[in-house]
Amino acid sequence: MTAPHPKPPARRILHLWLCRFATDRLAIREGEGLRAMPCVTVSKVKGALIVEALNAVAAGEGLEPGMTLSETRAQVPHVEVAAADPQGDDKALHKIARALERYTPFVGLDAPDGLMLDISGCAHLFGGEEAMMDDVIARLAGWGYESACAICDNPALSSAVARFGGGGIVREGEALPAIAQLPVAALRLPEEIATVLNRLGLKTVEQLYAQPRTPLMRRFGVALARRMDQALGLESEPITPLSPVEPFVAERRFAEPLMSMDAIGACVTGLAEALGRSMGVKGEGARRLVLRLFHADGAVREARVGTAEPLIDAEHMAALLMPRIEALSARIEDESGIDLLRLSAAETGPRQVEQVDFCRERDAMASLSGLIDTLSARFGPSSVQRFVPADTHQPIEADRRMEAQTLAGDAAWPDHNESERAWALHADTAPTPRRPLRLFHPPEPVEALASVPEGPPVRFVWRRAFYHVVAAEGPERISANWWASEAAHTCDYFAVEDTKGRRFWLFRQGLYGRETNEARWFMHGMFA
Amino acid sequence: MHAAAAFKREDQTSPADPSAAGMVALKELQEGVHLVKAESAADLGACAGFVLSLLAHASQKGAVVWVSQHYVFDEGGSLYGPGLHAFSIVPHNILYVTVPSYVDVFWSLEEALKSQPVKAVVGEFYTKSPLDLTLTRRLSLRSQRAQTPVYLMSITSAAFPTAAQTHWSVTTPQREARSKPARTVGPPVWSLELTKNKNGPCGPLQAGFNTLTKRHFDPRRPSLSPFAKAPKPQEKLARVETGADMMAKLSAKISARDLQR
Repeated sequence: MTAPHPKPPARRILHLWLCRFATDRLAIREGEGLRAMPCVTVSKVKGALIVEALNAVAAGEGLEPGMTLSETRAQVPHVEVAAADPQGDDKALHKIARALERYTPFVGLDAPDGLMLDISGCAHLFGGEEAMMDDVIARLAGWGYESACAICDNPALSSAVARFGGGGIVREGEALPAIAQLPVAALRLPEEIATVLNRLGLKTVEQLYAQPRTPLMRRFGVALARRMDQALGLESEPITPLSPVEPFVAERRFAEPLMSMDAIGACVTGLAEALGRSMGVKGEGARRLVLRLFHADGAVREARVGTAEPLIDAEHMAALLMPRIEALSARIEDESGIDLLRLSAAETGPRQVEQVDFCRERDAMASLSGLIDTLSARFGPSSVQRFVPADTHQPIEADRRMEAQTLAGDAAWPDHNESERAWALHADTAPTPRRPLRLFHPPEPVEALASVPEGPPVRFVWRRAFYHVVAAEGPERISANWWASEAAHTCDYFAVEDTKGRRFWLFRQGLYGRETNEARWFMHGMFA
Repeated sequence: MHAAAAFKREDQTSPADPSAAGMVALKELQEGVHLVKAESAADLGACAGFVLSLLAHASQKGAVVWVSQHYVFDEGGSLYGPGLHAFSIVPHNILYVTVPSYVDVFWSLEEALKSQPVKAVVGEFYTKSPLDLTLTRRLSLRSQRAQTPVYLMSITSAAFPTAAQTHWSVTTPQREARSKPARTVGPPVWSLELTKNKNGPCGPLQAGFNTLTKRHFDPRRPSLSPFAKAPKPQEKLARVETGADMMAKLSAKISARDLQR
């Protein structure tokens, strides 16, 4: 007989409600003195200034959100008024969410003033759910925010308990008793539905659930039924995490905030080893590494580096990350220290097991990955490039360069034509290269004078200097691709040499008569 | 006629053959730090061509790191893949790095010299103030340790002290103005001026580059330079000899070292 299939562990959701978010933020920014005064934020609605948020003192004076400013001033003459700042609030909420990623990687937003944390399986790390909840509230209080917290089985329930039930922990199966006496608005119903329900005498959640379901649905639509099911966990509700969940993570917490760079460096190496080990057994390596530094004061700093090859070598990882951390060092040492370091592989790739080949050397670039990573980390991946062949006649399209870090595999250019080589050796002449060594982006306009309209230029002015042509090869006519727009011009390219022997690649844009009457000349490149 | 034949023979010899005296100066450039100067941005094409001609063999064997300062990049254009290919360079072996300042150029070059598979490194930079000697000294020490050549390219006509083995200024041979332009441009040629040489005398040198054989040649050979007046035999001999003298010491050095190996 087999054991019965174990029940999947319950989902545990922590809902965090920042009760006085807007005014708390104001107090943090403008000075703690504001907390002792009645303070409101206002925004303009249909030409009137309406109170949006208020602090505890203002609420104690009998003010309410939705009042007009003149009403507020009449009631409490010494009220402090500030304009609402939804963008700023949103930014601050994001910042808090990032900082709370120290508890769990699943942090979702419940804008404008709430956060959802999926803490399934995390709570024991913080000493159980009660301890964790106290820790979250204490931490937010330390940062200056008043908050209410609830831990329940699903997001809807948590939200209801945190915002309307004063917070707390609801065990599995106690959902209905916990919300029975709460107002119907706790179910996150649209305003008009809640108002109508109230008018019908359905004031509490319990009364609502006591009603037969079908007429309710017929009257209020599916939205209400869905909200009712979500609260009881009959319908699941996903949380969209703010940052994608990374498959490989290593982290380290510190009881006392860490201030010294040396200690941080040592910890990063340790984390890199742990991360490398966990990826190594799966046959994977990191392509992108993210190191998050959680400061004790709530700030979160990030260092991101990319790698050219899937990487598990701890030394190499630490060598890539350290310059980034050192760039932040001044701030780390000045501000509050770091109490959590988290190193994660944001992108991984399978590690190639390479067979040793006695006959063939490895691709020259493959063994360069260390250098490529170092340079890319310092100057940005787009500054470290390799040339990739492009099968096209268009000079600009032929100039294909790719980031060395992302270029996978060989980008081999074709060999020179053997017969051409043999012929040239026989003919005893050195060939003239057909393409310039340097190219201007974009081509630079020049004023040129040609002896015949279709011919090469005799003189031209480029960058306000005068050039007299003594030799010219061409034209090489390159027309635009047929699928290009009508306006695209045919270009006649000339390799020209001036009196000082310098060689340039010029082109005339547009065919006389057919495409244009006044051709324009451009400098596109320089030969050796 | 004889001189021309001699040049032809030299042209076909293998690179290790010390008898190719005229070209030894260029062989000597295969290690150490060398500074190549372009007078203006318009000479950057010639300058890049000369440096690339020295890299033709290195780029076949392994990676070449080319670091370009943004200023040079804006003034002289970026390296062009199809052009490199036409110049007999293997483009996929070139790592092209663009950096904001000349200090970054030197930093990147030092990093590149730490990397084992790099066969040669090139840095293009521009600075108004004279270059700090320490920068090139460090580079020179690293280059010795790694046994990898370093080529520095700079837009300047000023002379300033560096720890480089040689300083070259690169220009192109002048042509007389004509009423009607000639119909062919011809292979790449340079008039080089060796202005500093730690291991020997300085002097001018004319060189061209055959992109198929990947060898330098003497452009004064009549068949290869259709515009230059054929020089008088005496004058030509004399000039070839000065070139040979200039590099004799170096060639002796190389062959002695080769024997030791």
